[in-house]
This record gives sequence, structure tokens and C-alpha cells, in this order.
Amino acid sequence: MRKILLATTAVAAAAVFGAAPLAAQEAPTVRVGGYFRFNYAFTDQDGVSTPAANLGKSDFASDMEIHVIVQGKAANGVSYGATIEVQDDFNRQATPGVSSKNQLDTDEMYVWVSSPQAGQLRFGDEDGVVLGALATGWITSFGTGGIDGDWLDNVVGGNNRPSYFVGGGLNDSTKIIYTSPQFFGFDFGASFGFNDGEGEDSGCEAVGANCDRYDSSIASAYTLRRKNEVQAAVRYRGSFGGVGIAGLAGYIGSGATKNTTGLSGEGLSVGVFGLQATAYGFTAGANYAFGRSNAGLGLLAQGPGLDDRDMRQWVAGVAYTISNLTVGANFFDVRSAGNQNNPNKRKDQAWSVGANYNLAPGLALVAEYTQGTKEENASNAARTNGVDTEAKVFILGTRIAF
Amino acid sequence: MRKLLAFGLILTVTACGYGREVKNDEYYDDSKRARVQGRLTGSDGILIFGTDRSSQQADSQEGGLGVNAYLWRATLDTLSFLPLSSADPFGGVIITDWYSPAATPTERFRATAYILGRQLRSDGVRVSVFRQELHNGGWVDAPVAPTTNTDMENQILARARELRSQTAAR
Repeated sequence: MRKILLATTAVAAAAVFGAAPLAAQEAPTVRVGGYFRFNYAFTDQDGVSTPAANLGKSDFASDMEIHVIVQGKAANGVSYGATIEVQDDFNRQATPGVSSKNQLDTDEMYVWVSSPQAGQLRFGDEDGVVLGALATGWITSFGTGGIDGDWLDNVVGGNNRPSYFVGGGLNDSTKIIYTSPQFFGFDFGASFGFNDGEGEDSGCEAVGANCDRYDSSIASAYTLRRKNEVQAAVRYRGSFGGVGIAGLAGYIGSGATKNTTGLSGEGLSVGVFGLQATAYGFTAGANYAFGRSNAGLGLLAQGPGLDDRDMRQWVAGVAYTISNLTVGANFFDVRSAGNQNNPNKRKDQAWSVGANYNLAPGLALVAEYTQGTKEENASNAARTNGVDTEAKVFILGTRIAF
Repeated sequence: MRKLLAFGLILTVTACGYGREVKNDEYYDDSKRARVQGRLTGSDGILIFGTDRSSQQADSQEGGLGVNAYLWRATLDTLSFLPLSSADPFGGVIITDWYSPAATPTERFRATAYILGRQLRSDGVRVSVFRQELHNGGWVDAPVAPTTNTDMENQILARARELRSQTAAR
């Protein structure tokens, strides 16, 4: 086995760093890109009128991203670079932390090395291959992204926000990602991360469930988290009679932290299949996912009486672009265990229609309407562990990118 | 072990180089910036450091040529010992006239070079060398050594690489 490993490593090293055809060397460039958006949102949702307080429906909101993009190419044909994305991301902090809503953090950040012969390796905080590089079938190119757009930024309370996932659906845990060159329309890839931790630190202040390297604990301190996250996918892209076709088959798997004095939770084991077609300005796509997971790729706890049914999710959408205008619609439908203490099935659904008009390259106006529901019948007479909530959000905004 | 063998096989196949390199813009990008069509600056971000070689600025460095400028200049340099008959910088064709070396007045050469595109690639240039010998007062076609064409192409590529390196360092 050792010989095979050594041979494999040698082949990989030779492929990535070995002799390559003469190619144009490019001295490194450093670019700064950015994004800013301003939205007016009208939000009508259940559960925001309580005896203690009421919320209004209209508000303005802004958001931004700054990207630093480094890229170069060596004379032997190996390209390399790094991407660092900084964003305003603390938009759901508790009310007392209003100032923290303007704090910055890093989104994705990674270094990459790419060879025409061997493919690309990425190292850093990224989405992986199924939910990142090779993601297929999620149509979000209109409005603010429809069901994956800005609407949930305006919905109050996690219990009022339907759960789902699309590209970028897991956090950007620090990982290694490999993606292959394209062969006869196919490319494939795999990614691995030791845990769901991201960012700089691997050590932590005190031993406990908050550490990235948290592995196990007794029941009273147990927290269910992902370990050894693996994604693998193969993608096909081709053109038939002027119709562009893309398809994906992928798998997301993980282990889970262990409960040393009780039942441990279960890791992810989810299959993902995506298909999309593009022709005459239309893009249509669908994505189906199913397997061992809760809604939104949450982990399932194990225990007597807990609802641990499999999750299944449909996402579909269509967009049409003519000149500077893009219109589209998308929806998701998720069936899952939801509240595991409730034996009933959770149903999360949302649909959206929207449009964006490009005033100039990189400057757009958007309008979008999205409606989402979250339903899980209560299992007790007092109806205290059920949920039946709806949110409707209309957004009118502008965004700019450079 | 079977998995390791399979992985090794995959890497071996990829290492054979039959694939096409997948560029970064062919991968999914979940940033909100990626959902905005176009860029105000006309390029992907504002250049802070380095030289732009991907946009119209880079194209302008081709000096209006229809083919790769480095290969074009390298071909002219390499074939400069032959008298030039015609040169088409848009089609990428260079044709020389016959040339007889002083040391061997009974043979003469001419060459035709084709530059095949705008990319600086090892297969971006093709050279055909023709040779004739003087027999009974008339020039007769004669074979060229099999490696001559390849040697000329390699010489052009080496010169192109040299020119490119000089420019990249700026």
C-alpha cells in the first residue's frame, strides 16, 4: 500500500509541477473588486406582533463585499492565485449588538494552484465541490437571487425562516478541494475538511464543544457538529443543437462528534443531483437532494422517540434574459424531520419571482417578491412544539459591482 | 487498496494531459458580487498591482496583429537570415525567398511559417523548410533533414519565450 501511495503522490506531483508545454508566463496581478447593495424591503410575516412588542413592515438595508483577487502564471503553465472575500456579515446579531451589524468578517478565502494537465487544488475556507465549484441546477440569476436572495435577511426569528440549502449551503469550513480538467465534457472533484470550523484558529481558549477540533464529550456537554466532511461530484457540460446542458451528481458526507455517555448524532449522507439547460436567453434548472440530514443540511440527533427521518429537497427555477433585463422565478420544497422532538414531518417551502435591469455593466435595479412557509403540526394538545408560519417579502433595490 | 488504485488511475489519466483546463470563471461562485452582471470597471476588479493581460489593454499590446505578437516577432527574428518574400501579420503567414549559403552555393533554401493563433502555445507555429540542389545548371527539389522543421519551430518557441519573459518582468 505504501508503494501505491508513493506512486500516487509521485504522479500527482509530476502532473502538477512537472514539465509542461510552453505557456505564456504572467507576472502576478492584484485586483480589488467590490459589491454594494441597497434594498427597500416590505416584510409581512407571522409572529412579529406580540403582547410585548410589535414590528413595522418597511425598512432600508445595505450590504457590501470587498474581494481581493491575486492571479499569476508561471512559465511552465501552472497558474496560481488567491482570493480573499471580506463582507458585512453580522446582520442577525441580537438587538443589543446593533453596532455589530456593521462588523466585517471574511467569507471565502483560499489559495489555488492549477495545471492544465492535472487540474486545480484549492486550500482554504470554501464551499467544496457539490455546494461550490461544480454546483449545478440552482437558478439564482434574477432579482436578488429569489429564494436564495436577500429576502431572509428581513425575516425575524429562525423559527420563521424556512430551512433549505443551495450552493454555499454549508459554512465555508477550512478544507482542501481538488477539481479535475474537463474530459469529453466531464470534470470531477472532491473536497475534504476535518471539521466544520473555519478561519484562522485551530486552537481555542478552553477545551470544549466550541473548539474546531472538538471530538467528543459527555452527554451534558455534548454538541452535535460535523467532522471529516467529504464532498465528491462529477459534472457534465455540453451543447446539443444550440442548447447548453449541465448536469451534476454529487455526494455530501460527514461524520459527527461523539457523545461518550449517550447516543451520538449522525453525520451527513446526502446525494445531490442537478440539471440545467440554457438556450435562446432562457436558463432552466432543477436540483434534487435526499439522504440522512435534517433540513438545510442540519445534523440529526439520535435518541429514543426522536424523529430522524431522511430529508428530501427539490429546488427548481427558470430565468430569461433579453437585452439588459433578466426575469425569473424559483422555488424550493423541503421535507424533513424538522423539530426532532415532534414526530410530524416538517415542510419548508418558498417561491419567488423577480427581475433585474442593468442600467450599466455592474449597476442594476432589482425587484423581487418572495413568499415562504414553514409547517410542522404540533404533536401535543397545547400546540407548543409545532410551527405554522409564513413570511412575505417584497424588495426593491439597487446594486453595484466592480 | 482498490480505492487507492482507482485514485491513482484517475490521477494518471489526468496527468496524461488529454483534458482541458477549467478556468475559475467556470466554477460556481456564491458571492453576491457574482450575481451582478458586468463590472463597472469593465474588468474583474480594479488593478492594484501588476500588468493587465486579460483585457483590451492586453490585446492592444499585440499591436494590431491577428496572431500572437511574441510568436510573430520570434519567427521574424529566427528567419531573418533568409530574404523575406512576404509577411501577412493578420493571417500569420511568413514566406521567404530562396537563399543560398555562401559555403554551399549548390543548394538553396526557403521557408514558410504559419502562426496559428493568438495564444503563445507550443503548437502555435508551423514551419516548412524547402531545399533545392543545383544539377546541370538547374535547381532540383531535394529532401530536407526530418528534424529541420521541428528544430526551426523549437528555435522560434525559445525566442518567443525569451521575448515573453522580458515583457513579463516589466
